[in-house]
Amino acid sequence: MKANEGPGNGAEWLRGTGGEADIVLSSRIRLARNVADFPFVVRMKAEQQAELARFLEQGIMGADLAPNMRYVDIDEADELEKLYLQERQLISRELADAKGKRGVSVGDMERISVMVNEEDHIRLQVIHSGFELDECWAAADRCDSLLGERVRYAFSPRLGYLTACPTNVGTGLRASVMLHLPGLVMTKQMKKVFAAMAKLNLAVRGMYGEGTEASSDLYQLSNQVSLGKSEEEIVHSLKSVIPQLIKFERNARKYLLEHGRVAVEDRVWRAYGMLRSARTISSQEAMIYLSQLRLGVNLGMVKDVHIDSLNELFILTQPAHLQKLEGKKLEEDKRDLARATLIRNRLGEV
Amino acid sequence: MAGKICEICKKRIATVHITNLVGGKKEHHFCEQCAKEKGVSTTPNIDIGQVLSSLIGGKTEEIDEKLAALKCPRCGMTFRRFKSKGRLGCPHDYEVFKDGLLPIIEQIHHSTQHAGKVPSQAGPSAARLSALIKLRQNLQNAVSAENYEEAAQLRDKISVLERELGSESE
Repeated sequence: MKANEGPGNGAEWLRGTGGEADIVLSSRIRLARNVADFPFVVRMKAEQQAELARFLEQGIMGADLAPNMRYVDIDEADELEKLYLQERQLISRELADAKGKRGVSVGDMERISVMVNEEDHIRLQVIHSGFELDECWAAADRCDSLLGERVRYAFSPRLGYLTACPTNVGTGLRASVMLHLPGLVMTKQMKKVFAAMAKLNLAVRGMYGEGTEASSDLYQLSNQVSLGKSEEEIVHSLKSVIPQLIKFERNARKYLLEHGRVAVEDRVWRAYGMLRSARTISSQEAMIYLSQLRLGVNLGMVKDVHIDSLNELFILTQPAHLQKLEGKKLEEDKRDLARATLIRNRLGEV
Repeated sequence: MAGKICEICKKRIATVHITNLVGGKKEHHFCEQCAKEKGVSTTPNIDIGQVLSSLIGGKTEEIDEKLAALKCPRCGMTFRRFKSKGRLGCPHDYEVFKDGLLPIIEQIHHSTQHAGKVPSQAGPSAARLSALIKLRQNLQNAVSAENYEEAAQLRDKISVLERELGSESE
């Protein structure tokens, strides 16, 4: 898999297609599973972990989960490859940083991936572009059943699928959506969103640049409860709040246009200008301007930029993707230079 | 989220916000620097489990000594270690640490009964379990519809199934 294959051939979830894709970038389902009669990963001896990794690799590759599945040995991958897979959301930071035999199996279009020996023995993920939670669950359910024919899962009738951390026990399910909410951020309403979601037992997290004032306006919304409800109920409870959030965001955008059109236009066009002019740009700064430009495109202000190329830039400007594109390891200042050049080439120099 | 001041240094703006879900809802606000010193990760892709485990382990109340000393004969994990790490050692721990774990699970999920998918290899009790889950859902519906006659019948069926499942899992 090469970075320059682009999302069209690579990650389907980056394409920006699917329902409500201007606000809902992607939908994701994750299932945590463990193999019966094995300790959890933290308590496994090295040989046991290697034995389980081999067994699961065979099980996953033999289960025919998706066309063209391939398996990557994470313990043999270099730092750049690991970061690259992280940026594509195919593996977690935890898997990248862990020790011992571990890996990830990735399917066609990168819609399906299965991590082996992360916190749990198996972390199955399905990720789609746009608002497609039901489709993600259907695919995850199918893969899980196929795998379940080859692997005996740790399961109890009382507590469901048994996981290393009790926060995942039961269904082992985490459903999430990635949302672009610049309207709510600009109208300072995210606090309200956080409070409302907490009441519904849903978690909201900032993506890329969490904990900083300036952000990419990308938020991930996910369920916290995994026990006591069926998978369909959990998916539904997340799914049912999204239309309201979309409406909330659209109203905020409408408000901004009615009450501060010039200010919004100014921000959008400045971002566009900055992206087409900068000679060096940090990852964080690029995120902020790309987010503002994305809003401008979705509001119809900027007509000569396609949303696909913006979604693609969100990921291609990440450190590991940049280095893969350049074909060599780059220090931070060199990356900022390469990033600015890439963006100018893609958007057209002023 | 702007405007809150870090509760540790009381100077910088708090940019790390944590909601404690275990032991009653409580919010914490730290600045990036203090959060780092406190060992709270501020990296993106933050793992909810990791945050929660620090909260499970960080509870100030005394751990019952008897519970703390519980040790799993299969993996050697103790309940005390679980409380400090937030991760269990093997599936069997759920049984061994039941008395200490179930209250924690109840706090996190507001439930201690699985109501979802059952794996095909779960053995002969799997079908019964699916039936039980359906019956429980029907019971809830019957109670909310104030259909008490139906609810009573469902309760009887449920207790029969629960007894059967209970004796199988022992």
